[in-house]
Amino acid sequence: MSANPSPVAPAAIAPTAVISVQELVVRYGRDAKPTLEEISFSIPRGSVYALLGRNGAGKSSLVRCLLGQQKPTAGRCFLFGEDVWKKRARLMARTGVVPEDPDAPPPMTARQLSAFCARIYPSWDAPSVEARLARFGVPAATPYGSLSKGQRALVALALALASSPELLVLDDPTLGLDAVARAAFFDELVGELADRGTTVLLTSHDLAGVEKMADRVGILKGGRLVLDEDLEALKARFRRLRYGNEATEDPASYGQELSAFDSVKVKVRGWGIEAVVSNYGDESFARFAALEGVVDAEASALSLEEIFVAVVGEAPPATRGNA
Amino acid sequence: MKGTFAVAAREIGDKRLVLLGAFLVGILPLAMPLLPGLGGAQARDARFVTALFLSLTIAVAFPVVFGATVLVSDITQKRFAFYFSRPLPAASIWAGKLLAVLVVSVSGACLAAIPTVLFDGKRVFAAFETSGRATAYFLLTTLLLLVGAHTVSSIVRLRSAWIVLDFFLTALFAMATFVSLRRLVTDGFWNIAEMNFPPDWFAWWAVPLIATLLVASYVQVADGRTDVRRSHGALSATLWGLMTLIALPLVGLAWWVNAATPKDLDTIDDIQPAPHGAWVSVSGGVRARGSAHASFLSDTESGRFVKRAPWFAFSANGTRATWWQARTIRIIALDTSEPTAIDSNLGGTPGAQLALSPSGRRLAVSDGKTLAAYDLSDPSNPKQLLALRADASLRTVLFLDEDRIRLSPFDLRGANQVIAATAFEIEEISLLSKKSLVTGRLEPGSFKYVRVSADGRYLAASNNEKRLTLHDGRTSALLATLSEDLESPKMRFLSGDRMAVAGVANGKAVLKIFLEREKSWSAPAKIVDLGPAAGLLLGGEIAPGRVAVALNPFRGNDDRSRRAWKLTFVDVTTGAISSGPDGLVPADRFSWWFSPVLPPADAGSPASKLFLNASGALVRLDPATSAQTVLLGRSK
Repeated sequence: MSANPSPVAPAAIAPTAVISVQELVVRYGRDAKPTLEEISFSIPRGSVYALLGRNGAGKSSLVRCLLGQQKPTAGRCFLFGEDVWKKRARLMARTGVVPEDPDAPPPMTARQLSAFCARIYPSWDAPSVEARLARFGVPAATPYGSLSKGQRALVALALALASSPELLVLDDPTLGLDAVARAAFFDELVGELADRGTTVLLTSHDLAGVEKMADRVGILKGGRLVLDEDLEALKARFRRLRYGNEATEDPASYGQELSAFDSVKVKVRGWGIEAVVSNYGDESFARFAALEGVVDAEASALSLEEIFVAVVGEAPPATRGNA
Repeated sequence: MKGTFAVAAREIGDKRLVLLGAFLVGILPLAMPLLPGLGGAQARDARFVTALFLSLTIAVAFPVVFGATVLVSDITQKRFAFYFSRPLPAASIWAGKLLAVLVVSVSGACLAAIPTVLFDGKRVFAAFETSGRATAYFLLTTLLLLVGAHTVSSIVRLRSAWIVLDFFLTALFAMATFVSLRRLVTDGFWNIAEMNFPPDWFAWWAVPLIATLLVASYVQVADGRTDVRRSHGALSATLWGLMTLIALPLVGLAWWVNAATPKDLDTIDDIQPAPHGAWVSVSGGVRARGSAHASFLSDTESGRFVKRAPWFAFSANGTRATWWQARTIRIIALDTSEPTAIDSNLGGTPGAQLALSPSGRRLAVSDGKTLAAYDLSDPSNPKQLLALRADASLRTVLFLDEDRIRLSPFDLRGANQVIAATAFEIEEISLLSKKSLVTGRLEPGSFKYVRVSADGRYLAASNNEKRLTLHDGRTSALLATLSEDLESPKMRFLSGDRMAVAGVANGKAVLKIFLEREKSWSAPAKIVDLGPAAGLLLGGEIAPGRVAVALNPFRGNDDRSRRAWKLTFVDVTTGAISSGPDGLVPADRFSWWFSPVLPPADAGSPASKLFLNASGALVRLDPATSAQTVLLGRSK
């Protein structure tokens, strides 16, 4: 059992992968601890991949490397099978980007931005930009710098979608947005995915929103990719167990009955014990519930947010299980 | 290209209000005549000057401001990701942005000038060159300001650890470049005086510098992209790498040009023998080094040499020499087995007059306002003996002996300048009493050049035409009229209290021998007709009583003339003439012009046997056999 899951081992690059990352290392400063350490994963075509991590986990560094904006210290990133550092300009024609910090020139209006993009993209659907902005209620003739943060994110999304990209990279696009703007953003995105099956890499702290869309999840912790898995499988193997323990009165011994599980987190409550396990199975739970001293055992599913917290959250030492 | 123009158009669109502002600034001077108290020509002048000032300000300020912000602000404010997440090559982003600010900078300056051109067009076009060359220099300057401002701004604003290296290397390269350029200029490799304005060297260094800065900024964008630290690193590594590529050849060239030895001399321009001994000062063009010149002290017997700078002086006994090495006075003892120049701790104005005492143990330095004398017992730390105010700017400084210095008139042309009254005075200064005394005075307006004999006893004064007179070196009293009929007469002291005066009169070369009788130089003791000639050079005595004279049927210094010299030897007692080898001229042929002190009588000395051949090589002539030994120069 471990509260700090091992890094995901480097996987062979799938030939159909839209994104492939190979043993990526990012370090700021020669002697600094790596921000990203030997990250490897791939995202197949049509997949919606949610890259999660706490602030400072290295998500934005990874995204910058993936977009060819930053050269990794080691390792390589591929988009559509090509090295993105070397072929960035060509690959960006197939990629839509919504950045964490809206970065368009402040004096330009959304309409001017669309006109600018129309000159540099091989194909550009300017009417779709106008239509989306109208749908979002964002004025097309207001300078970008004068728009609210939510409006800027929606403009960025409208621009990102107008080139009909095969890949969308969304770097925490809803950060700081209100609930209405967030909903509008995700609704538009879901509609786009339904229409075209675009491959998406999404980083976000809005895990509820992510959960609706993502089909695969990666979690960064301490610069390492500690989890890379289909969302359904992830949710199937994570459960919260609650039970009473009558086998021992020594709190220090609580949790030992969970030896059949990989418990990620164990907490002693007044009413009994609460544990999050990462290798849940109905049969193993039945055996667990039948153990002597385990009473009123119940298992409940976890949301993505709860799984995320269980995986990356630091448990206080006093309540840490047998990690 | 499409991406470049898209980026450029976007940037220019951002700055359209700036262009409007430049135009409005250009209109401001038109309101000058409305100011109270200004009217007519005064108002037009004010309008023109104000417009000039504002246009120049914009022409400088725009590229500096835009250069400092166009790329660096995008990097520091994390706006570059907008471009790098589009299908735009880095080259398009970089070129588009620089093109935009270049267009805005140039357009801004032009827009600011338009209103004034409309009103004062003739005056503007009269004041400024508008040729293609001037336009190219304007664009070069604008581009230099742009990329220069960008580079400085990057170094300062990106604030990575590279800044330490940047500052260190900036200082190092600036120093290396300055030293190398100064060396090339002082060695004559580049002749600043012959350059136009804008000077040619502007393009020489500006074009490679601009290219370096452009490449560095491109690599910064292409390789640094949105990463601030990498961006700075890419800029610095490229910048200093390329600067090294530029600076190393420059430093190497300066070193190579400066490392020339007397053997590298191609043509000898000037020879000034030491008053005694085998040392000569020699200078000339250096082989395969462009127009570079080098000057040496060279021992014609042993081949030893020491490089020297201009403005030098020998001691009368030929054992010491001194010269200005940059801003330091350097002293050398020539009578040692390995002569080594020693830097004294005396500094001052390079070119200030230097004079050594007959023994070389004392030094006088005159910067035109102050005369100082030093004891050189310790050449590295001369001890001051005297310092007094003495206007010696146009006077020759000469040690009469170890304790007396004389200031004598030297250059009295004064065609375009007012000559101070002191320039005509002969003044003696005693190092013992530390007092000065005016002992004589030449009549103003009579002479243009005055030379002093090596022992100080005589002054030879010329009106730069046919008249040459001899005066008492102390009192300036007229002793003899040496010439009134010879064109550009030359004179020389000979052994046996004789003096030779030579020149050309009516197409014939004439040599007059004067004999001193009881301190009186009256009529010539002998006049020798040397035959038809257009040019004449008077040499020394290759043997007692035997004077070398070179004659030329042509005037000028072209190739035909250079090869037409015929050397003859004249027996000053009998007047007998004998022919020497063709093509040779006395090596110190320019000493009248280059040295304020006339060469001493040198009968049979090593210096008297030095000649230059038609190729410009220095040769030693054996008067007995007429055998020539090439010492320095092309034939060597």
